[in-house]
Amino acid sequence: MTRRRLLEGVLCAALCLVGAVARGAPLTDTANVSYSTWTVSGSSSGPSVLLKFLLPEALAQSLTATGLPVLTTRKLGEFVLRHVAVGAAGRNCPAVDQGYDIGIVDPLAVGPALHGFEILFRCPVSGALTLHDHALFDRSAGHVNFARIVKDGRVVEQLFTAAHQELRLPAAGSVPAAGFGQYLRLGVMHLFRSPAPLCFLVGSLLLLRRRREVLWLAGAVVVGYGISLAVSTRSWILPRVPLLEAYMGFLVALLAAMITLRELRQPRVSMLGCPALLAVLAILTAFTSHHLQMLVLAGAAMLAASLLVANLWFESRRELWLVPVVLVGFLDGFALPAALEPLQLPQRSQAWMVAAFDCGAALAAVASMVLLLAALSVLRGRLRTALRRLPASELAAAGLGGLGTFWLLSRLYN
Amino acid sequence: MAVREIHLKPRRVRERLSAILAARPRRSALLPAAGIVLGLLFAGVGLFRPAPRPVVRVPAGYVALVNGKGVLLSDFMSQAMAETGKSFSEVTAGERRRVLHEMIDEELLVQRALVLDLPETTVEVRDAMAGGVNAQVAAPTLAQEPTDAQLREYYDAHRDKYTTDGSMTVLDLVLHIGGYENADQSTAQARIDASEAVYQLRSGASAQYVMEHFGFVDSGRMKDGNQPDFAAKIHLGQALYAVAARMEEGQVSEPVLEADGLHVLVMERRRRPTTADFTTARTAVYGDYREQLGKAAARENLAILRSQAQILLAPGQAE
Repeated sequence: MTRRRLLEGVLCAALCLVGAVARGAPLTDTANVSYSTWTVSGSSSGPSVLLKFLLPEALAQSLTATGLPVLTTRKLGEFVLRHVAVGAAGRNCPAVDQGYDIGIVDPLAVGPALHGFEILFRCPVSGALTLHDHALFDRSAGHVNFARIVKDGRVVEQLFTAAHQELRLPAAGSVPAAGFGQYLRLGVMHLFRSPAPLCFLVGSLLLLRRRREVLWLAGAVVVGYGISLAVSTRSWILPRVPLLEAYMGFLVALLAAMITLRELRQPRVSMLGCPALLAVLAILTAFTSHHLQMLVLAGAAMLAASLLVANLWFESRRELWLVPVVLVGFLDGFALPAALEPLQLPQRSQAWMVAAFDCGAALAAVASMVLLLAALSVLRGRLRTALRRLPASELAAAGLGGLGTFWLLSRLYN
Repeated sequence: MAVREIHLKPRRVRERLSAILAARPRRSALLPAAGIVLGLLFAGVGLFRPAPRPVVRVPAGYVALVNGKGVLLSDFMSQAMAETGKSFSEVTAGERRRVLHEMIDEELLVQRALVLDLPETTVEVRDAMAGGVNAQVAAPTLAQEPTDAQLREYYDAHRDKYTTDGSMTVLDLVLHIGGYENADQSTAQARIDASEAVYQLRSGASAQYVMEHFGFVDSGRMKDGNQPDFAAKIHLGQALYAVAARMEEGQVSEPVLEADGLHVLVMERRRRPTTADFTTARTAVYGDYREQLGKAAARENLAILRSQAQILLAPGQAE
């Protein structure tokens, strides 16, 4: 049994695992975020904190499935109230009734895709404040709340995560902002919770033929995230997230086509099949009102045709398969800018957050590939017999193709 | 010059043709690269959208931007002139600063009201908004001054609107048939007595005399004295009011049979309803005419809005 066969078998198993975990989950974890703004002001009767909490519609809807019966704005507001608090001197500050018939939680009009609530906490005693946010961390794995703390005219960005649900504000002095490491960790966790980029990166190992190509692969990932960082920090463009997820699905399917191309006796069938299907889909979409989808499909068809043809023509120029790898890094690099859009942060604040996040994601991508290859060499002897007769490469390509096509179509017309 | 004919052998033609068909242009990376770039460009247009540009300069025609929302220069000028009562060139720098400060405050409050969703939650805001929309749709119609012919036509169609209500002081005497003094009295006998009483009244006898001699009593329906016509109609009832409305001052009615007995009305004082002529009523007609135009415009606008809206009613509900 060759080393190559062993690699294919292990990667096939890894892909099956990622695919099984992914199922219908979002391809990136940008939807699993909420936002809060805590405005701290002081008065003679003690400090007060005005909390503005924003929840994306998709996340609010998911609460119905996880136990919040018959979701209404009022119930959603009560849910938020139960899960946030402000503490001072070891006691919780009460939320204040806001008069008229509003009650304690004031629902806000913050756009069609968001739910907004405002709660005013008034603390009877002065001193250091503790902000608590426990909303959604137990219900939605990997949930992140992007918080802004406004105190004494200064604004700092902070993060509430499952591991960091409390934030202590000093009585005097400035509030600390979330550090580079927190966003780096966020980037790492993001990659491991995003099935599409992960599937692609694991699958791309099947295209490796020489040991040094691992370096190319890692380099391509880093270059992809780097270009993304350079573009996204300029705040020129923002992604259309559903279409971006669909395109990510296409890239996974394209990877499957590239793997298959290598195995087939008549590679032209694979070379033409994938772009032709995409072109037909683009033409059909042109007759509908989904013009952006049509553009994405047409672009995908052109890219697939060009890449597959080039792969066949220039077998010696193997670096061409790195183009989709760079693309995956580039597209995944827009995850945080897309998530931060509702906060409308200043360009400078956002730049270093995205930089840390992309560093984390790129590191995680490279590390996951290196670890997988290292694990492979450790398990080599044990798996030799098991994988002897398994058509691993074909299975992996089929799995990738199926997943990618499903993601492409399910996200494209969502 | 001799021309030499060349005859190609079929075999050589076939070979050449095969060679041409088999020949491929030298494979260049240019075509796939162009395809990749074009594909990425196409996809990029669909995948990305321009990020909203941060506005750092106030565009021409505006005096300020508040959270990206502009305060128009024309609004600022109007407000400054309205508040100071001067032409804009005469408004001092201090006054301009104060007006602009107020306008920015107002814009902030309006934006806050929208965030708090006041149009959905506060009755006063909803009323003001609905009124504003109605006023806006009526404005083009109301901008045209109505002609006298239009006003007169409206006056003729709604003459009753300009008619003042009449009033009456009427004594309502009733003879209860078969009263305690004559239990066997029939309706015919009572009618004879009532006719006699009417005769006496018309001859100048006092109501008091008739009451004492014929057994009439005051019905009490008009005990409050002088009453406007609408009140008299309510108190007297339909049948008696119809008789009273035709009577002149000092007249005595014929007996009218009702459930409680025979009634005789004595009209003591009568002021008939009067209709104001067009010239007198012109101001009121003008206001009513414009109000009607405004309502018609609002109705028309609502009809359009309803035609474009999707309205679902819960089971059992109707409008």
